[in-house]
Amino acid sequence: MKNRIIKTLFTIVLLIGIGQTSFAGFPIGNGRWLLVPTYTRYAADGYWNKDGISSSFPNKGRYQSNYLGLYGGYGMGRDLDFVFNIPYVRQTYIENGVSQEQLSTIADMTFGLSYFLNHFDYYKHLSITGSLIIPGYSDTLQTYLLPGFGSTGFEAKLGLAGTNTNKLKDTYYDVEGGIRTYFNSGTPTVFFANATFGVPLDAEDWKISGTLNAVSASSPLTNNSINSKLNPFINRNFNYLRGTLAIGRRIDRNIALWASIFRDFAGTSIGQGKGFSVFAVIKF
Amino acid sequence: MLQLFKYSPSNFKLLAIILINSCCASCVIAQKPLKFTSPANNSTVVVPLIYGYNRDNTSIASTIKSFVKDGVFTRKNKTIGYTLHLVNKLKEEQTGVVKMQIANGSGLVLYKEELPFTIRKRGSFKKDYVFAQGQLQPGFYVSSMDIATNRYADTISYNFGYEPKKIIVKLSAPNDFVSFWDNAKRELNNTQPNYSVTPRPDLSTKIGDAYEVEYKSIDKGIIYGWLTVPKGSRNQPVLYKISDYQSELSPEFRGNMAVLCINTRGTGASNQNYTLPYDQLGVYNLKDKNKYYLKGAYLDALRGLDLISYFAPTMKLNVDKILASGNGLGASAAAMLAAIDSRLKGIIVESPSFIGMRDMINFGEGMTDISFPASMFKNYYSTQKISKETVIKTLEYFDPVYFAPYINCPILTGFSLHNKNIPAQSVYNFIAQLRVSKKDIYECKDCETTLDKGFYGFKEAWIKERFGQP
Repeated sequence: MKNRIIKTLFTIVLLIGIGQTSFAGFPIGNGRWLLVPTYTRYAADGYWNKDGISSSFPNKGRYQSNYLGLYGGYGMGRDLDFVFNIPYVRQTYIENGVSQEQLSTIADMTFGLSYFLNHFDYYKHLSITGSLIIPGYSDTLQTYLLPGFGSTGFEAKLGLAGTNTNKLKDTYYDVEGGIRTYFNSGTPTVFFANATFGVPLDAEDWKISGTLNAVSASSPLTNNSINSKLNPFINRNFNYLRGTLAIGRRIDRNIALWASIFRDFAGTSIGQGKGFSVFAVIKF
Repeated sequence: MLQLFKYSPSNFKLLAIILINSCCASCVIAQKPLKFTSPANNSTVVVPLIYGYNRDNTSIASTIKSFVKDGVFTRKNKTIGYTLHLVNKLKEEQTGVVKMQIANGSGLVLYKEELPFTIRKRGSFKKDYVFAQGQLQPGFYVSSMDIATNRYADTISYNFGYEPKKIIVKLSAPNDFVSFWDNAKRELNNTQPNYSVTPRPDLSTKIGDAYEVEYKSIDKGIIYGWLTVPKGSRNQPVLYKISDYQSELSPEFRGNMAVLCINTRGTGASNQNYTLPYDQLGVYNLKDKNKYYLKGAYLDALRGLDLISYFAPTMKLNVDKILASGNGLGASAAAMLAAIDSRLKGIIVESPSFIGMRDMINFGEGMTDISFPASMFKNYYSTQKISKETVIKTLEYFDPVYFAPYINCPILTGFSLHNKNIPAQSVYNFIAQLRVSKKDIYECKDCETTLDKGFYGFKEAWIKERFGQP
């Protein structure tokens, strides 16, 4: 029982970082910078088991995570962006109001390049992004609050983002799908897909958007049959679906402030929680 | 030299071509009259539609399909040409004739053909016009087809190009080109502007404030326009839009930049002292380059730039970030501004219309249904007892092709390869003269007179890039 919970917790930590860049399918622009500092708070009181049945954590258990991330990029050209994400997480697991475990660390960082395969009519953009995943923490084997798989890896994703100019005029979308694979043996392969649809309000100063994130991770190896340094508590087979609603306001030419709420709708072998984010989109 | 030619119809034709070409200042290479190869000898693959004409659905529907998608051929294309497709929409047989002629960029008619045809009821008729390789020299060609039946009459034209980037351009600006414009600027400076900027709260929006602007220009020009400034305290970059030929600009609001829209003389409210019909304004005082309409229109645009500088401190305009943009005549004016003034951060030349005047007029003359503005100039020199060459010599002072070498700010040029009013060759000539390194060229392959969404999307991205805006 405890193992299952521990594994679930780990998964929760891992996934908070995925999906943070779901608004990033538009080109940054030649010579320009994009910075997106983000704060996310997430809490889960229960989990879905491997059959997708929901249960509460025992002993009024509660997992909490505070995530600080800096996503950003630089436009190296009209068709090429350098992108990065540096996350810092602070996680706590509480039972009966008493902290059982706590961890604060830089999580998996990503550094990569986005290449725009086609700008079509310049209102929609098709991009491919390749990023290197670098763990920002030391090997903490046997500690179950882990911010990642403890392995370098690679992420590749294909994205299509655009603004509608005819039907649903001025609405925008950002759809991406990709894969994360890690270099250490025993690590899972993670598939993910994000779809965002946004609507401008009030002469584009205000925007609202909705996002669906779907993630599926699988590993051919069972948890305890791994002859590697990989933490045996790590859950390598899980799926989940998350929904996010966000509202943003442009406060000047360079800065927009956003707030979002999100909730996990379905999953297997994963925590069931909800949370909120606040982030700023800074372009200069 | 002439003795080398013995008279024969074909030699006479060739001689005529050489003589005509030797009279032209721009480079025109003598071409042999085209011969058509037999369609039966060519395995022609027809690919996507370039043009569709459906002017009369009740009798004949006509389409032209090029053998290549964009209608621009290269040496790699085994077959060069297009297919004319006529569909009889009536429930009766139609008999008629297609009178086709092809002219090169100099307006020289290279080939003529009359093809009788009969189309049974609800039937169709196809004709492949195929050129053998090596018959064409780099350039653009216009094919005009007069189609007439017992129930239908129409003229359609189709432009196609062959290796346009290999066009050899030899141009020489008038000797006094620079001094002419120095004097013109001096003349403008000696004209009191009497600037006026009047708030128009009735037109203002929550995005920005609107102002009506007014100033005086040379030759009694009283120029009106609109300035919109976003709300806020910071200095705003300025998008300076110059009107097209008698196409009035309205106030334009943008959240991240001021927009100045100037209607040059003869356009919109700026028609005081210049209330002239559409086909006469462009030739007003054409006999005297110092009094010609285009000189005034261009200087109206230059004074708009002065207005931005004049009101920059009070209106919070950033004089280091001014972008001039124009469509048609406005594009030509923007090119002139960039050539004779250094205050611009960049220019957008969109479907320039008064450009490559010699080719434009010659190309128009090669069409059976000559388009504006070539039609206006042709009508002028046909009725005013003035030679075409004299008209062209005057127009050269106002031709962006000759401003091009002096442009030293980034430039975005967008144009259509199939614009019947302005041959793409005219714009290619302009591009060939540009010396500035930061130039973006947008060729619209599937457009006619209006550019496509892709251009306007790229234009917006380009503006942001120039202003360094997100």
